[in-house]
Amino acid sequence: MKKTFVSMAALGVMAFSSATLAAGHERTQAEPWTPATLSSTLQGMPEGDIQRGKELHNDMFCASCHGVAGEALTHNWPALNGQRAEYTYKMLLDYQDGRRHEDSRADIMVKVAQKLTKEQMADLAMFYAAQDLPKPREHGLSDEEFKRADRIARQGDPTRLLTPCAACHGVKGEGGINETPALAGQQPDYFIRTMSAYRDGQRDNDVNKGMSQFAKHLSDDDIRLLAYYYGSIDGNTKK
Amino acid sequence: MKAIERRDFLKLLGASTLAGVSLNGKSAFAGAQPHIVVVGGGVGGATFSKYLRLADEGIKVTIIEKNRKYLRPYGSSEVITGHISMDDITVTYDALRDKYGVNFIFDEVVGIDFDKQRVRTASGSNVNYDKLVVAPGISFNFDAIEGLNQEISDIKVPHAWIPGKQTELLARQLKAVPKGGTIIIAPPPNPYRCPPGPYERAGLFAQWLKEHGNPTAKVLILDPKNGFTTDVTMLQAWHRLYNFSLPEGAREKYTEEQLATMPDHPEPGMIEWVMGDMGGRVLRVDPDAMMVETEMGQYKADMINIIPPLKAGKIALETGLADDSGWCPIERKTFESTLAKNVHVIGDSSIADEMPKSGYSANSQAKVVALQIRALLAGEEPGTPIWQNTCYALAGNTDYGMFVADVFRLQDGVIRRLPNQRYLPFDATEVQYKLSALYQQNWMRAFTDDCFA
Repeated sequence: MKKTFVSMAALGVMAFSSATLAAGHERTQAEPWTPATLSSTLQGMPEGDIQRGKELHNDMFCASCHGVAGEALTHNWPALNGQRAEYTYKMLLDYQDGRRHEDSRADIMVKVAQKLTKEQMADLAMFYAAQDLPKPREHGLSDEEFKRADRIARQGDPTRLLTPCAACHGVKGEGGINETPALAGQQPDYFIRTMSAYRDGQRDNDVNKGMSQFAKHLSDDDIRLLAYYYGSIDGNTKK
Repeated sequence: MKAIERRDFLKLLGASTLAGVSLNGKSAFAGAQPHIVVVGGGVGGATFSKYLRLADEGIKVTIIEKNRKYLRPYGSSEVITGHISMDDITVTYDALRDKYGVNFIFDEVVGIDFDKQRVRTASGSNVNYDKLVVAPGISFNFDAIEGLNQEISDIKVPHAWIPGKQTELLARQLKAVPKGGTIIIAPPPNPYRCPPGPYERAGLFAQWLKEHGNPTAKVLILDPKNGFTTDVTMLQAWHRLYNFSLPEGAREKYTEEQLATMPDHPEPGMIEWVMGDMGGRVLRVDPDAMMVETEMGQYKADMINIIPPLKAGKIALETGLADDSGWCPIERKTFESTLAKNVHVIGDSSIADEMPKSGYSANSQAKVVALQIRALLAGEEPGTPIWQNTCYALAGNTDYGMFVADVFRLQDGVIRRLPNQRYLPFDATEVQYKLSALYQQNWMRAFTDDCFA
């Protein structure tokens, strides 16, 4: 019965449109991560339980925006399925502490995360990690565009001091070590928003500018190409 | 014109997926531009116009609407308690006009010539249409209650079921309720707009009184019905928040186990519900004596909020689009009137079977009908629709929300609700009530944007 209920509840909040989520978000307070504090935090991550995570995913209405198994029903919200548990756990912590609050879209997650315990965050993280990565989608890029994206992703661009994305995120975008997230099959629009936010400084919950130092060298067009490129990659073959 | 594919069509029906559909807006009608006229710029008319223009910008759409600005009825009870202001529920038509190219005529429709396919307005213009969409909302059957009429409701016994001056009057009346005073809310019989609405008001009023040093005041609900949408969750919330005791007739809504968690409070609570079977139906009001007479007795009050029985919007009644029920019969797949060709009735005025009369329903119907009309104009077969509805309500305070969520399909020629769980569970957690309230507030904004921005 639970399952049906979720799909129903989902309808209730479907109409969220990011642009309209409350204005005036406050940024806080929590100290920026250092490699040491993050490392010890991730080591202290409680052992999550997939089943409890699944129940929480239902009870907290996560499915409303993120889909029955985290597969993201719309381009408004990110896919969570197959995501690395450490990444999901860190994001929930970051929302809770206000380290992640890049725009008014984040308001809802900040409020939701404030209602979660660390144990529950770990449960949710394990539930999403236990799912397959999102199915690849059509990229719609020209051959030339696809090649450009592929080059940045797998070879980087020495002229701009760009390390290949794959160096951290995996050859198939399946995610790297610790909190380095999977990118394969991610919603392109979410990818674009995220990278633009890193580049333009609205999002700074990465450790030691781990992402933003590269993002700042990317043009709008680079970001767009990478978004559709990664959206079309099947990360599951590598799992 | 790249035809809208079936899967896109189905996607388009889901509010969440709407933004994801790329409608190319190119037109199938470059030569002879069809003209769709929409009577009424509420949720139904606005959503219809926006989505038809999104689907095909070669179709000319004109809304004829009395008011230059729209006051959204959903959530407007929160104006009464001052949680939000009239400004917060005021919506402009700028985006529809400037972003989507919808034409506006600010005038009142006074007649429709179904043969000549022409609409006449109060200022004397005639507007020709290829298809007409009638979305006039509701009107009130004051005659059903002795002593009540439009004027009395404007000055003394407001319904405020369409927001406006009556909403402000009700807000003033609430502030003037004396210590230990009584408020009467009389919900209408079925069917009516916004099923949880009258009951949400009861909680909002009780909460306001409690917070403003008047915890001995009472909200008395005099009801022609024995139940309402979200009642199981709402009565439970009142029990927790306002010392509400279940009337005998409401006990059957719960299991024995659930009832054990809701024992009667020793003292009378702030809210009392006189159900239909207890003689709650209001027969007469005496506005001078501030007295209400029901089937069972007479009640004095300091504030009376009677929502009279409802019927289709005035223009639908006057032009014969409604049947004896007071509502407009339609062919369900396209919402085309069964009484007039090339006229589609959407929203509260239509008879949509198990779909409630709500903003969400009107929005869902409008999206379906936009695509059906586009298909009909292009000589294509209309698709098979799926509709949905969600109503949110607050129990009273802004930390306690609830909802009903439904999906509807066409079955044997009528619109049926799918038998899924619709409400929060009885044992919902505190967090779930809080999130429901949070979602309600966000929904108000996001939904308004979906219709008007």
